[in-house]
Amino acid sequence: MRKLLRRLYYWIRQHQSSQDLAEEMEFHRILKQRDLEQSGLSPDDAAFTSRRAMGNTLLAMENARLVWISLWFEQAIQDLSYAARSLSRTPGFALAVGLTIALGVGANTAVFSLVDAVLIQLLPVEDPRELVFLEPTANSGPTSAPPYPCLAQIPSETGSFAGLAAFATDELRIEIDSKPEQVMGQIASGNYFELLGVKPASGRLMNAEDENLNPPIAVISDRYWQRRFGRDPAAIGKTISFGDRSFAIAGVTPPEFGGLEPGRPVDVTIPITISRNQLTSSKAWWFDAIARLRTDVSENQAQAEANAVFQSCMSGFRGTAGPKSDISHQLELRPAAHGMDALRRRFSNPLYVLMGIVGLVLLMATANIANLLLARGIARRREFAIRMATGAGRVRLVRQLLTETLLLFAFGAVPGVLFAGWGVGVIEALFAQGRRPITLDANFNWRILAFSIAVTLVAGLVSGLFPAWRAFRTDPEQALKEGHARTSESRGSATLMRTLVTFQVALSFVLLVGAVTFVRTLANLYNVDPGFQNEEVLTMSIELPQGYVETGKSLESWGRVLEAVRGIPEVRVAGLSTFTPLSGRDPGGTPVRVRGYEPAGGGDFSVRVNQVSEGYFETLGTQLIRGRLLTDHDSAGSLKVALINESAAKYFVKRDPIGQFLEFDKRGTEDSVYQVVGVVANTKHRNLREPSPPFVFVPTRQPINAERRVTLVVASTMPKGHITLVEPIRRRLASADSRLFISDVIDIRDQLDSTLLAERLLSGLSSAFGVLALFLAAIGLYGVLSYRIRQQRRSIGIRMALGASPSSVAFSVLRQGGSVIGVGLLCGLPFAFLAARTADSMLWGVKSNDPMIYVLGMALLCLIGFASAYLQARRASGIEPGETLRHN
Amino acid sequence: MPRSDDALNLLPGTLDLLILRTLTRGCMHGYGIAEHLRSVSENVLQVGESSLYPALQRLLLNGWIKGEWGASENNRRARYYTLTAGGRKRLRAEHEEFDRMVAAIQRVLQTA
Repeated sequence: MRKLLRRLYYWIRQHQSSQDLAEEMEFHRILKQRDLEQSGLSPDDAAFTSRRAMGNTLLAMENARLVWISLWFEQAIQDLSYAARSLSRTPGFALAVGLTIALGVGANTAVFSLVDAVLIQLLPVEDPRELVFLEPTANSGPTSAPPYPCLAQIPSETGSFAGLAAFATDELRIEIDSKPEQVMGQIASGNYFELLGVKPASGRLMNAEDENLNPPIAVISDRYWQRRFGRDPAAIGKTISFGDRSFAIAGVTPPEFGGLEPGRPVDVTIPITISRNQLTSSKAWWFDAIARLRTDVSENQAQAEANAVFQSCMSGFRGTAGPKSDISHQLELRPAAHGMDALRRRFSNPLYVLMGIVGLVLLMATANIANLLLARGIARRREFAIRMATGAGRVRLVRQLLTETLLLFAFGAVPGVLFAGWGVGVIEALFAQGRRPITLDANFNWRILAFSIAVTLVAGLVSGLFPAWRAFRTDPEQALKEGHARTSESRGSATLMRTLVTFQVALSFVLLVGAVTFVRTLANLYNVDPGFQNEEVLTMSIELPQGYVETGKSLESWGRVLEAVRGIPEVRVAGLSTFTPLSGRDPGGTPVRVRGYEPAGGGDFSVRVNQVSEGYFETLGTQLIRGRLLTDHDSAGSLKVALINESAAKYFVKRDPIGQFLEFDKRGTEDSVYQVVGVVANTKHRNLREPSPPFVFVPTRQPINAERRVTLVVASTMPKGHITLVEPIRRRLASADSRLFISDVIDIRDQLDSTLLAERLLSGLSSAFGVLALFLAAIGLYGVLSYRIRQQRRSIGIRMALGASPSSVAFSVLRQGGSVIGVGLLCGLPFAFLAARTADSMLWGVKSNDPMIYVLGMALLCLIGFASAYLQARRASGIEPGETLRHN
Repeated sequence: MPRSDDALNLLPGTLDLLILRTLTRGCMHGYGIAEHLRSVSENVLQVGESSLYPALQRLLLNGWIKGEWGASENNRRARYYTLTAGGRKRLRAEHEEFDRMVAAIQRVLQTA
């Protein structure tokens, strides 16, 4: 290292250094001359002899210099400065290539940043690869962890686990300094942070003993500390109220830690003991469990042991447990190194597709640049020839060219990476929209840097290779003799250029087909009937203060809320519901029996229950199929009624569902029996692709469980007027009850949009890149044709002089362009088909074997391709035969 | 890389060793080093400047010697070289290596 610094120091003052050396050697000679004179030589002879004795001082100096500066380094510096000079002479070329690279490298870096954030990053905890989630897998798929009593036995009764912690995340409504706010909350067992090996950034985190602390403590995240307290150290010690309990903030987690679910960072963590009764209940399936495996235990062994404990304790519970114990079979371990996989499941395929798309764009850019460099190489043939003739080695020349290409790439890559940073910001903002925003942690890190450098180097070397190879084969004599590019060599270059353009056409065809399928998929999904006709609906969450539900004031409050909202003149219709379609919230299945009907297969009739008020379906514009909707007469005192959706109506097969009684299993009381009075159309629930699950709607005024929090839906009397209702509603509700907490104000259209995030991302980016590729191919074609025409100028002139018509000349140019497009399309077709096939599962309403997508792609390519060929054909037909023959 | 003089190309690095050894006598300029080598070896080791100066540069680069400009006996500027601590260590190591080498060569010459 110090040696390197000395080298550097020498290099910086190398002029001074060599002067020093020269002076030193001259001093040496003078001393020698003096000694020679003393031994009797005449001054002249002494000077001569001393000079002879010194030998080749120039060589000595050069050798001394080379001790410090290796030849390789020196030549690299030379090459670089030469490259910089030659590029600055052609700024247009440098700019065009730089922009193309910026685009290719930028797009790849941006998408890779997303891939890194969603698929590669490990949890920022100690040894994340030792962590596993414990998941009981039922017939219907994975569920939450088993009840806590069962869970607690696993680490003590098996030797496979170093520890186990339980946690659950949910939106919590908390109060700080009596100000209500909504946070992403996490309830965790006391050993949670110790198990993960997370160290506090400030204060302390909770530990196992804190479970029984009174008052209990809370831990906040660094993000929340920043957002809510502006990193004020006084935040530690403040009190957070949640429900009827208070928590003292004890510490802050490190900035990189945001809980176990990527994309949904936790703000506040409180001990799981706040609901101790839930922990001892064998019915509590609402939390997740994470465990750390001992290093010497295989996952299979641990799973077998844990499952054995699970089976024995579940058979003990069977009498008291809910129906879920009957449908759960196995306890499985899932790797937890990346955290919970909701985000990955949803975005891994779209991200792989995007990675493929930007990879093709990079190939495209590389081909384009290779072409530009080839053309430039032809123009510089004389320069190369002269350099070779004056003694430059071929290898040196190739090195020079590669240096130039790499310099160009570096020049383009830096703005490219900056552009990627901007793009990632835009995409992060897109993810952060909607009712359940996703927080991506796509920060720049060493993996992304290494990736972009690797991409730049590989693309640079590949595109620099063709022109370098051509230069390597330059025959200086030939090149100097021939004034213009008309030799066999330039014909070779022309073939290479044509091949590259054909390749580009093929690539852009693949990209275009991809773009067409994704755009059509998105359009088809937007055409899917979501089950609600009115898209101008405002939704917002309203939560009652603590104590209302407990003291039975909730029904009256909800009535007042509706009254207040309906009192606003601009409100056309309004309603309440537990949740709205496509909100991302899922209550899970509730078992229900139809009175007097024993299911033949013993299977459960599991429905999702939504408690809605009168006006809910009218606001959304959901169609009534049979029977009637709810009215304000369906209230606490009257007969309990319910509506079902079409999916649920299918359960009744041939019988008429209207008039049937539904019994909800709530300790067998008569309290929860509802008569079906109507059937409504299906509304999309989870997303637009899945069919709606069976739903039962019961009136908010006749709840199964009293609601503490509901979603208000409102439509305005004016078109687009729903957005302007936010403030009047806030004011009215505040005067009705100032302690109501309003959150998640969102247009139902935005809610729908956020379920289509992946599709919008794919369709937007694939069409942008498809169009880009199309233009790159068109420019490539234009360039090649233009080069050909310049080459054939003379022969075209002769043909025209001999009577060929301008249109036949134009036609021949068009034919050349057409053959490139045709061959490109033919080569691209199988790849386009393959690409579409792999994306089949992501498509909607369009299939990879749909000929339309290929026809459309071809049509687009032919249109733009022939347009660029036409421009050249016109140029060729305008050639003056006389002029071309005169000039040469 | 610089070429060694014929007299010294038998064992690579020997010139470095000799320069380091010479500098244990105190600080010297290039000519002084060459003269010292010549006179001590009774004219056997005639170190040419074309190998002496690259060798000195190499030793400077490695930090084994240090060069400082000073006035000479005839009032010209001259660079005087001194041994550094690293240079002393290097000298010991190279000296041992050289002895080992010479002994080995001796054994081969006497037994073969």
